[in-house]
Amino acid sequence: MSINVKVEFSGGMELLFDNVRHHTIEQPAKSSDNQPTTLKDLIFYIRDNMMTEKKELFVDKDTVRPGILVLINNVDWELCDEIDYQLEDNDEIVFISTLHGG
Amino acid sequence: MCSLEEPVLLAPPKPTHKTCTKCKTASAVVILRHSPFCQPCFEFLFVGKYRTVINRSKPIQSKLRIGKVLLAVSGGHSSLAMLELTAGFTFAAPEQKKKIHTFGSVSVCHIDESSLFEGSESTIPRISEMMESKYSIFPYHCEKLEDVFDPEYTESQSFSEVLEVVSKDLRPGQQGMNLCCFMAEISAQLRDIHQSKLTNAEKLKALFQHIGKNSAREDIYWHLKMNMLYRRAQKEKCDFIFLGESSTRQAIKMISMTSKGRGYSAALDVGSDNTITYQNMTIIRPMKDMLAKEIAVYNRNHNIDGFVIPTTNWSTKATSKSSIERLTEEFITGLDRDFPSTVSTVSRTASKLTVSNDLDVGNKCAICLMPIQRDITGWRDRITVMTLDKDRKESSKKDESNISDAGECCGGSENANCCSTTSTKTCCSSTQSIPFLNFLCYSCQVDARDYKAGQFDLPPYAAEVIKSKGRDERLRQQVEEFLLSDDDD
Repeated sequence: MSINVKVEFSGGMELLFDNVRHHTIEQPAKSSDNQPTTLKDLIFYIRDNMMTEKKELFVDKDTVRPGILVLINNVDWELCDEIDYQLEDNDEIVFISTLHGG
Repeated sequence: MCSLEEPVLLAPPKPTHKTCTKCKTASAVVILRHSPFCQPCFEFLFVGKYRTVINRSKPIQSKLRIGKVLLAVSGGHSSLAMLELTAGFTFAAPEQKKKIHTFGSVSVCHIDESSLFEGSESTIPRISEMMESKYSIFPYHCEKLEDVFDPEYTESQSFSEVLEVVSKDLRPGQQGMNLCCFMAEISAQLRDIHQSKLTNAEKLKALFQHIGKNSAREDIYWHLKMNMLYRRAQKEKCDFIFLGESSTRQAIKMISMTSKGRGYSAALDVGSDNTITYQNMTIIRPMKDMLAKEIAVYNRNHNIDGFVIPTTNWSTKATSKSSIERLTEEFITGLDRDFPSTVSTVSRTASKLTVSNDLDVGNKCAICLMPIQRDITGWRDRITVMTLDKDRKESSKKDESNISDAGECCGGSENANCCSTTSTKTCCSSTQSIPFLNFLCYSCQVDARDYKAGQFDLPPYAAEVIKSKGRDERLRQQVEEFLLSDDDD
């Protein structure tokens, strides 16, 4: 079984992804160790499969770099367990670069 | 009962659905400095911060209803949020007949810097489209950064001389050519703008190609932009320039400016308003209390994050060590992730700074137009470790003010750069070389250390400052003997 997640990059983040803002990503509902797929798995998937360079500008250790705002279904991810959030089908995840320009 | 197999929970798990701290009823959508807020309460607080800055600003209140405002819109998150807030603030529905219009008029200025960066598209079409579709109530002006070389962008609006800077190669082993006395290797002269056949865009590119480091590049780039905004505001007869600097940006700027030697004028660069730097013009920073995160959430809620123009400059996609500003950004945002009050503590402390009592507003730096600290050259000499050659030491004592005189530049046995240039006038001719560094503030002097060998032009506005200062100095010398000194009885 798999789930579909809508991912959007905004505020300059799209530069890291060939200027494409909207993506739909298919993820298995369960990760390899039979745990529900979390946001952390999605972030790693994006890092390993959708980025060719400058990966450090998106991921810092096992989370996203500071200065990137993450919204899960339009709610601040700090209210949703951050990287441990368990993904559900049709979730909308937005990554917004808050810095640069102003 | 506890068992050894059970994992030890260090922190209790965060509840997934928190209620808003303010209304205590709705469920929260955003956490700001540990406090959860629901959507309407967040909106209320955010707009309130903008209104507070405007309503508490003395310069704005003294020109209530007549003050003309120029919004500086780069297309980044913060400036777009400022535009949206200002549009909401000035809008009055037909039934709101008693609403007081705080501003006389509002216009928008955007500076397109795409000519500086290879492969980047002009940002003007995107801004025009947004302004016409969403903010047609405001007139807008789009400028190109290279036009800073146009005589129009000066105090007199027709100053047609540029400052030609010649930086000589620092070859180790040459007499007196150690890195510490870098200032001896830069000379400058005023030259007619029409002598060079380069276009404005080529001049701008040449200028940045001759600056070795990203930190110095970013500084000069910012000063040029600020000068353009100021000149545009002057032309439009505006009273205020609104800059969209967020609290996060202010905290980053404070730390990076201190480390770049800009502490003397830092009080003017942070805080809610600056009435000192420019004549008859006040810089207001209405976004100074909003965090970058708040701004991003606000833009998302108002569907304006799609208009954000990704910045293309030296720090785009660059590593954190590419410049001082970039490194400070990494430091502040990294610290703020674990300690969410870092940004507001730094920026609130910074906004309490006041300028020094001995600040002389008339003594402006030619590049950044900020006041120069008195006796800065002497101070720098005292704190810099120098190993000057004996004969050089004597000559520098003799003529400390004119460090790079024309004689030294052309008198050497070698064919120095400045004499072998293709320009019709060399520095040996009637135009005298200018002690360029004496016209710069400490921070711009530090940036001058990163000029690469070669020749480039600085825009007319810098030449104008130097020329008018020279004139003032000559006048002062002429009347000096008639002046009463403080020592006289």
